[in-house]
Amino acid sequence: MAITSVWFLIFLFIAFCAFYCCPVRHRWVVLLVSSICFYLLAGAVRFFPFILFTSCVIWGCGKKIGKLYEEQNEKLSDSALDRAGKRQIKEQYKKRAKRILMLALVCCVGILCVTKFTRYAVEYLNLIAESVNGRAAFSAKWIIVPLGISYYTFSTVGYFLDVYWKRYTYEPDFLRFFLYAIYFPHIVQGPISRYSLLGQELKKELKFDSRRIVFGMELMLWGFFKKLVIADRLNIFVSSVYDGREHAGSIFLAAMLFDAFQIYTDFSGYTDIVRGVSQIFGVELEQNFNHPFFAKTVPEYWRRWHMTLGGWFKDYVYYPCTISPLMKKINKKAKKAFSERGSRFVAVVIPVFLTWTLTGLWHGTGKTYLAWGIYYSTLITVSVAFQPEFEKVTRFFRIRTDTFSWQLFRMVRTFCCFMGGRLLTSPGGLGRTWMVIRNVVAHLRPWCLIDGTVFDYGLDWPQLVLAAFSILLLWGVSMLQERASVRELLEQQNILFRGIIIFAAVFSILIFGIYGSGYNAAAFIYMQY
Amino acid sequence: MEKVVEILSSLKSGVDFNTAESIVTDKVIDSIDIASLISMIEEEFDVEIGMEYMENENFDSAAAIWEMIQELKEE
Repeated sequence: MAITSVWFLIFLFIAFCAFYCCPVRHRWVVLLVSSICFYLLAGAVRFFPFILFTSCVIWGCGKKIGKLYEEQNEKLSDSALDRAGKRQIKEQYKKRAKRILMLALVCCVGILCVTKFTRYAVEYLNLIAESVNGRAAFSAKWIIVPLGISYYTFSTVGYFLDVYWKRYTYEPDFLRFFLYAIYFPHIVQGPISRYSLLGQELKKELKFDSRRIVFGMELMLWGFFKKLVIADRLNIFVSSVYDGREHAGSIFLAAMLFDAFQIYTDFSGYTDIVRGVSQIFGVELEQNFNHPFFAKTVPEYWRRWHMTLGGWFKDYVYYPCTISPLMKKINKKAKKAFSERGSRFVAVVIPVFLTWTLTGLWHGTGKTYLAWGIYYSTLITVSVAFQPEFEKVTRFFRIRTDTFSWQLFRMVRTFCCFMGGRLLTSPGGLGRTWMVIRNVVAHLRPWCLIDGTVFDYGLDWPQLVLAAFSILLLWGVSMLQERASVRELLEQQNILFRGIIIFAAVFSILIFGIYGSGYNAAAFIYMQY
Repeated sequence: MEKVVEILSSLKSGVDFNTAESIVTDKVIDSIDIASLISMIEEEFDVEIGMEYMENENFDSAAAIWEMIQELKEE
């Protein structure tokens, strides 16, 4: 049951009626039942034990650690204890908590790694077997990847680590915790919600609020527009260009440009839909995109794109690596061996490379995503390490950095860096990436963009004009959103104007939306993770 | 606290860290600056910053950092 299907809208309507017919104090139960039903309908019954197991392990271990800390605090409150005694108690409990931490992480992250990497391992083993025996030795059919496993594992592990690091106390009620893990708007593709935010949102009184419901529906409409009108239209062009065959370099350049907008509208469109759905039930989900194409540097770009994933890696991989005893040892040695700047470079480069390699592997396994991780690690490290040189260059050329043109240049440069990253993964393998680069450099043939060749890739000229117009509209709305809330602006208008805008949005989705066979939109790109 | 301000100024010039607030929330310093900041604080004040202190509010101003250092020293 895709969230762009009619079945989802029917499901949503039933859940909505049940939710608001139920007394306020029991509404979270309706959300829990709806979420379980959605998971069973959208995924498969065989996936359910996985999410249940992960939730049980994380909740159980979190509770155990929480109880240990309570016991520790009780012992520490003994006034007869001196400083050394207190330290001993702390060490003792720290060791016990660490054992539980390792157990939970091995179980839950282990399942994630096994389900994600087994297919890749089987493919490689088959390649070896084929070169030896001439036929594949293993079948990959039995490998299953439970729906939303990356998202619910990250959300629950984040909660668990926060309990371990004493940022907040454990959740005593398993069903409340299970609702946080399986909550249907965020289970398939995120956002990767923090327990400190979503857990609390789900605990508050979920009262009927017509304003919020209208706002939620408007956000859903905008999401559907992004997904069905822009992303799925651009997908036709991009997928027919990246078909593994050679094309003119200019056609590949157009595909790279469209691909950037496609993935953005696909993923941010999905996020808008689920945030809108969640708002209808009175639950605020975290923002996942903040107009990333307006970013002026690559680090800033990653603070605006898939923000919850970036935040997760920052808090649970980057910082722990930065302050780890091993990293501190390396830093000390680097300080002795290099200048201050050199040692700072070492302090940055190791955590950045580790974080981005893991981020790459989160998106997918294999050389392609490893290359993607290294690509972004290199860009971020270079932008940080050579900052003084970049500043010198701008001063040398007397560039005025407070001008619009300079800011525009930085935005375009960041966008090109993003397209470079997409070029590593979109064509479908590093061999194809190389083919695209070769064609762009050696066979650009720019006339293909105006002699009609561009229409051979699934989109005729009215479709291309519509795509271009939709992207312009997206740009205009994004500019407006940078300054104010569009929904609040719309709310201030006369009811007739607001109605016209909403009806125009509905009709443009119905008329210009791309629907596949059986009226199912193309699958969301980030669903595979 | 002067030393904290000095360390922050060495990371980012052109900001008055005596008065600046929400320096992490407003992205005046980013995660890479925080990594350098931690190493400098640990060296200067002979403290060890654990993960339980790795929250934005502990790094959001010179005063907040100073308060965290005092807390760490008391431990």
